[in-house]
Amino acid sequence: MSAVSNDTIQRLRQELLLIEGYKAPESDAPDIPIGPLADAFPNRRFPTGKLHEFLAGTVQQAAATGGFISTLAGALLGQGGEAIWIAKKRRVFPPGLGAFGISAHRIIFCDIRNEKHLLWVTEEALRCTGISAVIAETADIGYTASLRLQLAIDESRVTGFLLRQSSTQLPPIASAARWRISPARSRSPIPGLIRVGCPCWTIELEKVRNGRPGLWQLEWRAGRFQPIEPATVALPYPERRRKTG
Amino acid sequence: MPGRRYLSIWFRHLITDQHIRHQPAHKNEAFVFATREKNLDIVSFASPAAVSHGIHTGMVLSDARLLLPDVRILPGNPDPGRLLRQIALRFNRYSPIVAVDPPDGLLIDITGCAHLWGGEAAYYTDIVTRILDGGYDVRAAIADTAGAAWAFTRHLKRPLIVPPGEHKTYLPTLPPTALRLSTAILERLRSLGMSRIRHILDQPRTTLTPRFGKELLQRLDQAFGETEEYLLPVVPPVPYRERLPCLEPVVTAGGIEYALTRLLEILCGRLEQEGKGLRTALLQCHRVDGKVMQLTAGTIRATCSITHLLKLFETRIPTIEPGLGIELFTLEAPVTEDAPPGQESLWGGHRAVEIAEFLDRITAKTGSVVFSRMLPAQHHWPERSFRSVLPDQSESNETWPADPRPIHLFDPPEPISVTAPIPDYPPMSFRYRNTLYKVAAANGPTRIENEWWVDTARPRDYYTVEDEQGARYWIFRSGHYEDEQPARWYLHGLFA
Repeated sequence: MSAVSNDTIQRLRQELLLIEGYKAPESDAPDIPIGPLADAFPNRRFPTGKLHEFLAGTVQQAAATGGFISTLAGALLGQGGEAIWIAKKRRVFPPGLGAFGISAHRIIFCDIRNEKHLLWVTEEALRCTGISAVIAETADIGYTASLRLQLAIDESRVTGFLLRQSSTQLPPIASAARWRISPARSRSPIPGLIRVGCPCWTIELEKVRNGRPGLWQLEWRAGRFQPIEPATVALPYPERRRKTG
Repeated sequence: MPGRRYLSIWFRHLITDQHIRHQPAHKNEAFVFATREKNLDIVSFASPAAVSHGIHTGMVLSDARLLLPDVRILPGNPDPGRLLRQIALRFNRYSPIVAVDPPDGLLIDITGCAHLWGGEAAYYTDIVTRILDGGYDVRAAIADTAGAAWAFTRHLKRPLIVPPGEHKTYLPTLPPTALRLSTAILERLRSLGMSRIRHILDQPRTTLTPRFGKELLQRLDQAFGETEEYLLPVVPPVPYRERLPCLEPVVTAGGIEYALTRLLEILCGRLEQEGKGLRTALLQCHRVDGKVMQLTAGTIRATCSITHLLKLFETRIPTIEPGLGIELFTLEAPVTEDAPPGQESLWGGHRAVEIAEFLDRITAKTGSVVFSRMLPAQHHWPERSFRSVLPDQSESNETWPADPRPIHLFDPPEPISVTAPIPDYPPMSFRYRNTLYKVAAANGPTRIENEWWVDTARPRDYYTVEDEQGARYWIFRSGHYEDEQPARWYLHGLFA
């Protein structure tokens, strides 16, 4: 086994990807630092210029997803361009975005009440090569509509993020990757005290084209993804409080 | 101001002439209009026949009666301003810039207009004959400046068409009343014995302003052409307007689109040549039955791209009801801006243009401006800590505060009920929308005081709490425990 070198395996993988019809991101596409998540993707590169779907069942999950998408969009914006955040009702709090490496004034927020208009605007935005990232919050999107978005992306190579929040089961759509982000317990920054630390997420990649789905528990600290270190074990919060007073 | 020419028109008996137009029987009669001021009847306008008997404007009516016992007195207070405006509108065929010169004159910028009539003499004759035919007694003069034309109209016998540059030789011989000065200054000049403009010119310039105020020098410079005088045209010029009449009434969407394309080609070509771009475009479709259908399109940056503008209109062309047909299309650009060709590269190039065009298309589709960019605002209160601006102002030097802030904010905050040890410990659990969340970790409190100059809500103590699943919340207690009102708890946001 050891006779087969790493290079050979890499070469064979590349060939397989070509046979599977994988279109690599253009060479000038930004390399998104995604830490341990890179294992899931072909060539260990985050697929830009694709449609990413994010599922959220609760408002808490939607907030965590918003943070996760912001880190990706922030890295995409590092190369210039603009991001568009399309929503029916804007919940994003601009001062909160800075923690994820994106300054709010680089984003154009669109508030669109009408569902049909929202999909139209999303499609138009995805056609516009001057835009780096399109973030659309809509649960109500069918398979056909997602194909349209996919087609628009194929021409423009814009990266699209669809945030679908719904407490019920949603119909499947065409996307390059399907994610589910939920909040995870954070690590206290001060050992021995029970404090809220850096954002931590359970990241579930349910489906990815030409890649391997997976599950990670990661922490967003100092501007990059890091595995959550084993938390210092402390008494559960209420008991401790009762003791002290 | 080389090359400019102005025409001044003076209606010597504006109001009375107008009255005679309506009542030809009064033509050679002596009549006056009288108004009541401070319990005195004052002559406001007097007819030429009355003037020849010595009656003049401003005279007390009883004095006028002494001079001419059977003078006809007419009631009412005619408004010369309105009448002048009406007349001025009719003169728009002679020049686009016609300004009212109260109380009894018009000032017209005729630069580049006279040659269409075959020279200034023919132009002058045409205008004066037209006014005389209308029954008004008139004097008019053409000169290099509006001020000089005004002076020559009222104070120079001849020539009334002063050749370019020669106004400087005639002006000094005229009395100071030719300078459009206020009565107080005229009175002072008279008492100093300055009966001609040349007497004023003999004085050192620096002494004039302290002695007579700014007005004298300003009027003098305007008359001689040393400073620019701006006329306020009665019809604001709409320079960018194109018409497309149709031989056969148009009833199809394809036809409308073709007409629009043709109009855009003409208008945008012109805008581009003049280094301008449009911000608003207005398409009017005049139907056979007299109704006008119209569409507007707005852009967030000046543009003269035909394809882009066509796209903005395209989606709404089907909303035009052609009825029996459209016989005339007009396209107007009411709002334009300078857009030098080099601007696009300065402003971030192709990308910025593309995004601006994309935003315009959204506005055209949804019918309202739905996008904004967020900039930090100088407020601590979370709801007021950002402000939205139009996306065209992208670069900002302001930085966002580094305090931890949630990614989602509930506005208004959602009320919750909590179990919390007093005085200022974080809650142990809270109930939000009938779900109980147990607090597993907490940061805080952080107090945010309200700005008393904005409103008087109570101060808030914020806690960042994490529940057992790891979801992070931003909750606050409004007010102090010691207050008469009980403290209330709210959920204000969610951290990622």
